Amino acid sequence: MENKNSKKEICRCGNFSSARHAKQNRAVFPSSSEKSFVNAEPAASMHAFIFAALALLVFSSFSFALDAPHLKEWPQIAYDNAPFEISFSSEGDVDAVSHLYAIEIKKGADIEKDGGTVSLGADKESSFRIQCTIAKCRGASVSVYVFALGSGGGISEKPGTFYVRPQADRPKYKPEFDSISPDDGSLSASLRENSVAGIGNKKYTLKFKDPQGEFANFNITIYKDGKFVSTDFYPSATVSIDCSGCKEGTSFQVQASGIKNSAQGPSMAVQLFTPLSSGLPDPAKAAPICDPKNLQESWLPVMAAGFMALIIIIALAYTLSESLSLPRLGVWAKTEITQLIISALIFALIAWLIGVQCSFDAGALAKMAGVETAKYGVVNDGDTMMSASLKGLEWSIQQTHITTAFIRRELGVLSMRATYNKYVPDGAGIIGSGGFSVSPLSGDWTMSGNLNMLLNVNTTFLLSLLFQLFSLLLFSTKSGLFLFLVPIGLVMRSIPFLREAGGGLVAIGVGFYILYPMFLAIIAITLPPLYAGHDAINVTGFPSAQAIAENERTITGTDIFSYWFDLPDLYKRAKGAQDTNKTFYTINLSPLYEMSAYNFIRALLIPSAGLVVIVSFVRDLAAIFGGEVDASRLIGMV
Amino acid sequence: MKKEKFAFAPKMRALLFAAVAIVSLSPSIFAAADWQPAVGIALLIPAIVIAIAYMAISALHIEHFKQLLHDEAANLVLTALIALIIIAGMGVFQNLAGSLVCGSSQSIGSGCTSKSPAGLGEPYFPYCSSMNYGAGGSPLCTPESGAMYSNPLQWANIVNEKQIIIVKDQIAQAIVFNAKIGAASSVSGFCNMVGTGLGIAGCSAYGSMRGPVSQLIMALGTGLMELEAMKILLSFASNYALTLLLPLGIILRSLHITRKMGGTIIALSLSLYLVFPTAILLSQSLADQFVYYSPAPGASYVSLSYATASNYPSIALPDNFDLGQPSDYECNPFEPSESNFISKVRGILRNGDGTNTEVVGATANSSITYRLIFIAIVRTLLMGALVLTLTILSARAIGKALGAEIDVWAIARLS
Repeated sequence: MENKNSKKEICRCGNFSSARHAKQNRAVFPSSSEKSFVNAEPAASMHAFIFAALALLVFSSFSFALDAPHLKEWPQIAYDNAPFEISFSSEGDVDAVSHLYAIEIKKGADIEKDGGTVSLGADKESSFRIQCTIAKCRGASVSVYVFALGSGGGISEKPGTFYVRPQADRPKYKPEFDSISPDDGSLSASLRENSVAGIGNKKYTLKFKDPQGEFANFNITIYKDGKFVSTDFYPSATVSIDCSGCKEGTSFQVQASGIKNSAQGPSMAVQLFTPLSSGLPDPAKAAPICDPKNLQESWLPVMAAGFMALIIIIALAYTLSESLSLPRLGVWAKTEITQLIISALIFALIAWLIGVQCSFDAGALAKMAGVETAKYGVVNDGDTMMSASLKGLEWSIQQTHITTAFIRRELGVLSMRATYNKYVPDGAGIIGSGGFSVSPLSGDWTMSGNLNMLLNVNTTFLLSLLFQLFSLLLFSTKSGLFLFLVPIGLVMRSIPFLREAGGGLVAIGVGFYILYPMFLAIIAITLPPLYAGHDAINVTGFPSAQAIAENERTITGTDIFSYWFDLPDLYKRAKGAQDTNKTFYTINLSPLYEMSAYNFIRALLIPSAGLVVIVSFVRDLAAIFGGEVDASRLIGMV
Repeated sequence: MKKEKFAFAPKMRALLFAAVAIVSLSPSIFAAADWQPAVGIALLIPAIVIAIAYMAISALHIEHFKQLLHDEAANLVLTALIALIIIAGMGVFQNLAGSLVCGSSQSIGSGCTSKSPAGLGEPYFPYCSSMNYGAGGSPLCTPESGAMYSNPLQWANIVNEKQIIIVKDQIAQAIVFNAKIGAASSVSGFCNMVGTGLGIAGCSAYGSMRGPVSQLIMALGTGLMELEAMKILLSFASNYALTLLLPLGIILRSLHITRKMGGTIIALSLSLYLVFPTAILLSQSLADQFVYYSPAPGASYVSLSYATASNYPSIALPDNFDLGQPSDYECNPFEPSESNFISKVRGILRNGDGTNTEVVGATANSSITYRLIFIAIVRTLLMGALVLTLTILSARAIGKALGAEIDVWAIARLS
């Protein structure tokens, strides 16, 4: 039916559309001055055209009735602010080259008229698209008249008429989000609660899917930082998002709706965010100091300058001691040159340790621990200590986040359920009534208190994990404090009065650069097997936790009664086998307590034990390097 | 170059002999538990490193570092001794654990009808303790299963799992009771005429029980969290304490700069593997005498039972609240029964009478408060703290013996 070549798109914007709609529609239908037909002050040519069309209509009703084109298809139902399509066809012995149409929109006393021509395509068909706006079209009746222009043309026998309904009446179908992937082939961004956080300065391909295969095409609209960018119709729901040159905090909103039977369904919206602030560490930049250039560019100049200065000072001291016969100064110079050599040796040792850390395969470590990495998908063969530690933290953060999101949602559900109130009239009349009321689910208020507590502790766990992530980025990456602590510390420990402080700095630097990622990598290797079957997605009692968490915002949807008529299994489990009466389904908190316990282990207990070990090492190392570290203060960070 | 320069010092000779001995004994080590080869390898690596370093130092005549290597060798020998003690002690410990539960390696038999089953030895734990039975009530100490459960870690895991099931059930009971309390307390009456009238929440007094029930659920839930955390830790200890942490600790303890860290890791691994499960068994044995089934021989207490649907205070509610009438509800909002309400409150907060039978009796009328407080506060939270304390104390003590200084109370504060 659809003839793309002859399709004519008409913008119905003008004075009754909002500015945004105007901009939107201009982008969809670029030559609006030519195609728009409803304006506050229609152009004189348009007036003339409409009158001509109507005159032709009247005249042709007498002359060309036999070869009249007819409206082949038009929507029985149209919706506000949604495009719909009208098709014509001329049958019989018609030699038409185009169709002339006239449209009348009538709403109460307001009547608007318009018209235009569209070329005929194959099978003598043509079509055009019209988009109503809320102000004008809702509740209006639309009448369409058609002529076939050319020899043997005629007018349609009767107009096609239909009514425009509110958008809320539209059918409940919409496309689903499919994927988003950078065009440069780098790691795909992941979707979380219809929101993609941390997209970079690059181009992306965003796909929606049509699992039922029901849509003729898709309307996709893009906004950037809340401002309209473009909208268009696509045969497949794939759209390119250009974020090259994006500033920090830039956000995109992409809305897609499917078009079926000439009517448009509701939109599926996806949010895309670039990092909010450069003040927040970016895990993507958490590269270890494995590139020799990093050391050459950052360490060597500082250390070379420091060591050269020290050598000059020591040489001067030795010269003075010899020339002025100051033996104590000579002894001092010899001692210091020894310390300088020791500092250089420490530097060599640290460089070697960095090499060990950079070349150590986390997958090999997992094999030593008897862990099949492929089975759990957190750490892979070939991962370095740093990448393994980041993956482990991301896994823990994701699981804890799912728990908090799930609890938040359940808090909302419980709050709504608890307000359910049933009135049971005992006697009612015209002038009065009596009876009683009951809120059978008001026990959920009590559960809300417990859930609040759980939300608080899980938020604490999440903060702890984020603290660990930021600590890792702060201490252990090529842009972290390591590059400050170690070289400065080595130079300082070569200076007599600063030896203690320098030794402490070097020890902290080594402890948190070499050991901390290794410790986190060990957690990433060892914990997932223990959590198999107990993570937030699969824990007994809420198998669909992730799905619920991802649809957290649906809690404010209109289908509110489903919260007690269609409860997930989690609620039903509260009853257990003791009571078959399903009246008092309520939430079962046990799985949430279980999940919180698992989060406690991965967010607080094991990390604390690891920090105890690391601090023990730092204290020892500081003593060897001639420094002293107050370990209890470091532990206090936990 | 003098010939004696190449002569090994006596200590170093002893070290090399020890290394050779370890290598020659390695087949028997490998034939033992699966974690022991890792320990053997962990000892061999530093021994080889020290031997090579000693050769290099001797060849280069760097006498200054010889004393350092001697110290390292001595520490390695000490570490090897520690490893041997651990390997030997592990078997002794497990045998001891087996004798604790099975009593002279004899079977207790199924059922718990008799205080003193004939023909059995004297186990150290109560005859009818839940600890003596596995899933489905099967006894742990049959000749077939006795060896399997002689491992305290597995045994503690069974005990912990059973406790988790009990606490979950208590939470479910409390939640259902809370739902009924909520519904009962929400029943109110209204009457209006020509737009004016009144309403009265005549049953709202039932809401006074919400606070205690909420606290109860919170205590039980916190206890469940603790038990679940123990479950993960037991799993961690079972999977990694001996196979990963212990060898890692031994390697690190053999190196000078990581000696204390190695000692810390060894202490943590041993505490997790041995002391932690044993402390769980100990705490359960203390609590078990008050809770389960018939009394242990010589015990002066009648055991407390658990809260069940039958011994919770009943709240009368219609099956389908949407169609209910005031008469279906226990509380009529226009004529609330004070005595009815008080009996329910007493059901929750009842004091023990003079003979204490209400406190420790196992009848359906006894106070569920005492049962739940015992399960939630004493058995789960207090005993959990005891387990953690014992584990931390042992980690600190073992660490100190190995030369490490551990600020383990930072971990304790987390609980």
